[in-house]
Amino acid sequence: MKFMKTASLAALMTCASFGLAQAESVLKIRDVGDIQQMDPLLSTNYPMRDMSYLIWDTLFAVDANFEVQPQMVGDYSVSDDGKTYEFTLRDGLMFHDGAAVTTADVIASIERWMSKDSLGLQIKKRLDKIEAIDDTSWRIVLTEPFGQLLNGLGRMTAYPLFIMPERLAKTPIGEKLPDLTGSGPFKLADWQPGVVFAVEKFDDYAPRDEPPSNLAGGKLAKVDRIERLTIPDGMSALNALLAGEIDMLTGVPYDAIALLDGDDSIEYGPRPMLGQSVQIVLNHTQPPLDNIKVRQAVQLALSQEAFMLTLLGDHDELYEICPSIFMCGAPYATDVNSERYMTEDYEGAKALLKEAGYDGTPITFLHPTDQQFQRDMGIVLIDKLQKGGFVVDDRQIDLATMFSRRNNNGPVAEGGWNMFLTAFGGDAMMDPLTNPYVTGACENAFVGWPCDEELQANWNEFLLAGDAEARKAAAVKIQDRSNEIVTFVPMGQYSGVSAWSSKLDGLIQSPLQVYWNIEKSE
Amino acid sequence: MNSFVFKRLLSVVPVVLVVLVTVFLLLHIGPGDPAAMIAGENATREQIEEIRQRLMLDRPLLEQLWLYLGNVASLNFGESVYSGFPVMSLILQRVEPTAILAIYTMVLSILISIPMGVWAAWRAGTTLDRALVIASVIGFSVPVFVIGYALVEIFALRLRWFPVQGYKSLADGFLACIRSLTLPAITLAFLFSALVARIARATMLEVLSEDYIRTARAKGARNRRVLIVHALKNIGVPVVTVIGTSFAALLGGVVITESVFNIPGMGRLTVDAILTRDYPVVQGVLISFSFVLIAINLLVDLSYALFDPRVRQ
Repeated sequence: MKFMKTASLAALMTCASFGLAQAESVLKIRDVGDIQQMDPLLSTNYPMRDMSYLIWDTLFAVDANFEVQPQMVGDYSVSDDGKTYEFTLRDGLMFHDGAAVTTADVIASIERWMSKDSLGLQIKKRLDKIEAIDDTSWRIVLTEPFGQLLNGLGRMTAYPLFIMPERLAKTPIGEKLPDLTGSGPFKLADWQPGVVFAVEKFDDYAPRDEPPSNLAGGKLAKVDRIERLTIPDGMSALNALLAGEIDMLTGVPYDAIALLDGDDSIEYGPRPMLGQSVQIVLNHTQPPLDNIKVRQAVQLALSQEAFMLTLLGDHDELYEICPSIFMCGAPYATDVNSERYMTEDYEGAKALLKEAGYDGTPITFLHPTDQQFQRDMGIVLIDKLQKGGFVVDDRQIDLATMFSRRNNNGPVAEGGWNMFLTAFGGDAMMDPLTNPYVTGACENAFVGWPCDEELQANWNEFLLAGDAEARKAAAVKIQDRSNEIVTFVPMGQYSGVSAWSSKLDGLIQSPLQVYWNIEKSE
Repeated sequence: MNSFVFKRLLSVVPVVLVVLVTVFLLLHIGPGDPAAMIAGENATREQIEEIRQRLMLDRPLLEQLWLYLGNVASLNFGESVYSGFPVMSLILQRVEPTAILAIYTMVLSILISIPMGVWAAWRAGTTLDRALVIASVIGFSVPVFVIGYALVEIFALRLRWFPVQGYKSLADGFLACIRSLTLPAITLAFLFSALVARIARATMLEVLSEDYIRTARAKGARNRRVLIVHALKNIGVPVVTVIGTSFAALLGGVVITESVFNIPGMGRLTVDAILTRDYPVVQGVLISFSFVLIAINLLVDLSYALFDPRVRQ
């Protein structure tokens, strides 16, 4: 009888544990935007990049101190002359199709990345050769020492170097990747654009032993499946979280934050790290903004406070009046030469316009009205400019038209433009090599096309700087010159708000949306 | 009857051709560039040009139109310029939720609106009639997102009877599917039942003043018989017309309701494609809409024969 009882209990426990083992843990998230294409070298779309980090792994990765650390790489060495690097992959790295990650995959991925990424192109310029040593080791030989090589291989954003199987990495950029096989902690399970992007835990993933730190360290898959749902309406997404239908959402509508107060089942806070910053972009090639004094008058007419109030209302804990063009709280933050845009001075703007001989030529402002933040801030911008003595031609359009039209550097009468307003993530703005506004490369510069030898020299100094101190000094020079010639006007730094179920644990602080290491209790 | 159907089907051809060319020209002549959208924020002009070449957007407009018409003729709507998925598969993914929501909404609307409209006409001028008229005006005027959010607050967040958002496919079970669409269908039924009820009431008032109704009454027919046998059939033509056009509108997608309830329907597919200038998808969905509209118009025309014997002759 005792045996029967024991056997029954054992059977019950077995069934229970089998049941538990079968229960799939699913993390349901709602992030802003949709994933419409999945080639991480084709566009800078943030949701696509964040999902790419789940599917593909990187050779190096940036940690919470913004230092690059080995990720897929196990060991590496640098020659005394700083020109030869040798790398070895960690043991046990496999693609989702069961094939081992090899040097051939790595080299093909690096070559594809070097043809697109701006830092990759700088590496390519200095590349003597890249060659396999064996199946898991390779060598990069440069023509001159280049301190940014590892930063490039561990690039956090626009464009990260993801390691793909060689057959994928041979795909020309612009052609659709034949499949989405990676070697990251999750593998693709389902993708319906506009509906869902789902990944499943990759059981054979070999994480690093170190604790997770930003994008570096061990990437532990602690749920079986992650479903990224496209829920276009922020209020509906918030309701879904309150009803327990999803576990996490980003982009909580600012005016709905109060609904989360007092609900013990929900936690919320500013995410991701560093947030975003708003920029006014000026076209240097067309009158009247081809005149430096007119551009400086724009700086004087604007103030960050007004823009941030428009966007966030009384949530002053979520924004920062930030003098730095490289994000406050980031390694290259400085306030050098920021005085003109920190406090509005209409009379000063008018005086400068007079000195510049401004003849009332309208500022053609591209004003997308299908995006709330651009629509609302655009109204404030026009008001400020008019008070500062400018005549503004408000061209109300949709975002797609703005994206198209801003590439035209011709006269306004031929479809050109003078000014638009946009926002970039802190992950891009924080680094002179990813901040698009800080080169003076004329035709090859970001739209607005500033053309300035001194700024370009400063940027090159940063690129070639040998250590952190030299980089910091170069970054200060870049900001000084960039603000002097007004490549853009920073209009404040703000955070989005994410909310998540209190059942979740292990969220990683990062400038990106990182979804590994998240645990979900029942 | 057969020749009537054949002629109607034949008339579809020029309509579809006009739709194809108009849609193509509107998209390509209008501002916006899918290559710039795909390339993203900090792409160079060279990178955008590369993408434009890959998408063949650098070819002359007439060449692009000719290629496009050739593809459509072979039922190839192309691929999304973003995801690379065939347009037809993207449309088919959205057909199920759209069709079920449309049918569910129309069933609810008809069940509510016809009795409401008929009853209001029968009791014309009474308090009940005025109340029903006011209700239909409110149903027609209140924005669907207000009704939608109110229903979510009451029935999803407080009572937990229905989900807040999302669509469960028929593959997940019929009841789960219907449950996921109940709040969106009620939201839309507010609008469409108000519309149909107003038409039903107005038409019924007209019918009730006809000589044959007076004759039926003079013959001593009971009220119920007068209403159902003599009057109801004669409001069929205008009511079916409104139901048909409403159903077509529902099949075309109801983007606000789809957004509030996160239903992945045709409306959202269309709007997303337009905003991102995904030309093949926009062209594909608009052509599909035109086919649906033509088919529904045809069915409505054929249904007239059921209500009016003169049409059959």
